[in-house]
Amino acid sequence: MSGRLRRRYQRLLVTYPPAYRRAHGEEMIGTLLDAAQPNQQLPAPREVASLLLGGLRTRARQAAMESPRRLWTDGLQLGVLLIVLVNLGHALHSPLPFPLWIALVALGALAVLRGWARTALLATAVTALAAARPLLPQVSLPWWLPGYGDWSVVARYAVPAVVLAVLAWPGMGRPQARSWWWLLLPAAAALPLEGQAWALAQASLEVGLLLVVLVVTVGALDPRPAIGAAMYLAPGVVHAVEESITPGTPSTLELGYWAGLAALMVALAVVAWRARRRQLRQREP
Amino acid sequence: MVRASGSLSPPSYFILAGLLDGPRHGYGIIKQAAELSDGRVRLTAGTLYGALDRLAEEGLILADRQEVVAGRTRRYYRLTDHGVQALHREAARMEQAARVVTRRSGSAVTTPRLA
Repeated sequence: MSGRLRRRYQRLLVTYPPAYRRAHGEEMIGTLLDAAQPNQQLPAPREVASLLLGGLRTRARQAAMESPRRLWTDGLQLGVLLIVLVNLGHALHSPLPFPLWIALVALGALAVLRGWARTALLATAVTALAAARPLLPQVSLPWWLPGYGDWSVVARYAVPAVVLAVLAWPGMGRPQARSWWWLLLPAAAALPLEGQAWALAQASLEVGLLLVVLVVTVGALDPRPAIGAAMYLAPGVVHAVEESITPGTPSTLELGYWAGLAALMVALAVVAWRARRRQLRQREP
Repeated sequence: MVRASGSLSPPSYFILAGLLDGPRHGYGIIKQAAELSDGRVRLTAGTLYGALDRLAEEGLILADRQEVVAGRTRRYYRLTDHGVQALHREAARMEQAARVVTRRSGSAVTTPRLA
């Protein structure tokens, strides 16, 4: 009986930080199984609520102990990771006849995922320059790289390069290797959907991630997801602004959508920082 | 957990009290806390491990040993000297606080009501 229940409790422990799960996960599962009724298949509701809350509280306690530099490094890496993975999804979704370009985008994404800041900087800097080539006529790049003529696409490639230049700086904390599960994101973005279905899938993914950010930022008093989400939204805001200033493009709704999301992210970050400062004050003797 | 006032929260108090007889593992602590509190403290795993972390951080308990029984990992926790002292301090504080009420309630019974 305990096999199924064990797996269900294991899934619930996902709210706890990975290092905490490695140290205490098996012990917690053992306690939960000891406390379960014979033939119980489903986790008890009060245990479910307690584990979700307990995970967020544990994250909050750990975030309060992290240095501001670590929080910024992790938050910026998360934002860069989101952008480069979505870029990879776009590149795979509608592949341009530039296999080396796709390989470069994939290398950039892999390097960010594994925490290799310098490799990621090199790969993203080349893709950013290539994307901006039509806007920078004096820059000449080889034939195997495509160029883009609008600022929103350039922003999607330039923002990661700029942030990675900061992360590669010796004074910053070393970016950490992230889970391979993140690769599901470009896989989802590369699904063969078109038109409205594609836009709907993308918007659903964004709103879903945003809800996770909301829960983690407010529940765990951790500013990192808010920093990452704010960064992820930056190219979208550029796109909305570009659309709004293009004559004959009715994009007030889109501008409002992106501006609203960006304002929410800034508000979340402020709430998280204030909460963190309060928490640090409480810890002082 | 030790609050800002220096007192222990009810779950922490009963967790520590349950460890007075010797080391216990997670489920053993849950059962003992329920028994000692007449069923008023029903700890969930999330609450228990949050409290154990804080009590360990404050130096009141220590992880003692670990064993695997029927494929389930069990880690035992025990009180430190500092934990024993904190528990006795809390018991004395509550005893004194209870006396304030019971003594006055006793005199209130014998005092004639004005109305």
